[in-house]
Amino acid sequence: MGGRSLWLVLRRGGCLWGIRSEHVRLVTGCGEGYCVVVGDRSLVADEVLRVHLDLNVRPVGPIVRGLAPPGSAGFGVCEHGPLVVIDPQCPPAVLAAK
Amino acid sequence: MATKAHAAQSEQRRYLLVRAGSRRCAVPVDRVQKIVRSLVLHAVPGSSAHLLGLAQYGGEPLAVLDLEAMLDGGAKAGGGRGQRMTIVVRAGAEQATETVGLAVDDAIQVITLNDKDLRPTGPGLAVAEALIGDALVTVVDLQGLAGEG
Repeated sequence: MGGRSLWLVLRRGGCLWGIRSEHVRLVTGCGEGYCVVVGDRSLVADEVLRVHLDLNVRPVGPIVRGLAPPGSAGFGVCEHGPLVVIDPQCPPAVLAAK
Repeated sequence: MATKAHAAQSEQRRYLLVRAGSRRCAVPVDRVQKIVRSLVLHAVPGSSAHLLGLAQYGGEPLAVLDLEAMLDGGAKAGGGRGQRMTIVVRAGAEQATETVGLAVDDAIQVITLNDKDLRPTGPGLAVAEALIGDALVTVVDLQGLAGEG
């Protein structure tokens, strides 16, 4: 998870989520929130906070992996607080468009 | 005589005595990195109730677990009871530890327990019990901390 990269930081369900911007195809407004297209999936966000360079990210360790929502690839920190890194292959269900 | 005395001493281990709900727990001191008051926790929707939330600690993300719920196995409805303290520990197997926070109600004192005074209770997170005064203390083995939730 090292190296310089851009991250999109979202808020959904009161929690911050981050995804590498290279996985994001499109961000559009939808209803009162945002639709974020990742691969062939549409995710929803209550808020799109910013694009962040070089987020401080750690992979989820084996102890926490079984407790974190499925689709969590790691944890990170940005100026808004701690966040969950989204696995673009299998994003957490809370982000799924209804 | 000197050898016997040394052997007896080597069975003593130091623990941080904490209160987690109705339990008193002994956490190995050598696994404790810090005790932090009033960390701001950010709940993670869709997570196990054992994961109380994420905190920012020293510029790093820190997953904070509910020690009482992890010991009892059951999930607390709503997750957490407003525990006042977080013990930052190295958990997991010795060669691959993971830094996590354990939410507790109070950190009481550092105690020394002799292995011969422990009553084994089985593998997992709670490995033994000890009687300290009138209080039953659960001895925690952080190598046994697993995230099955």
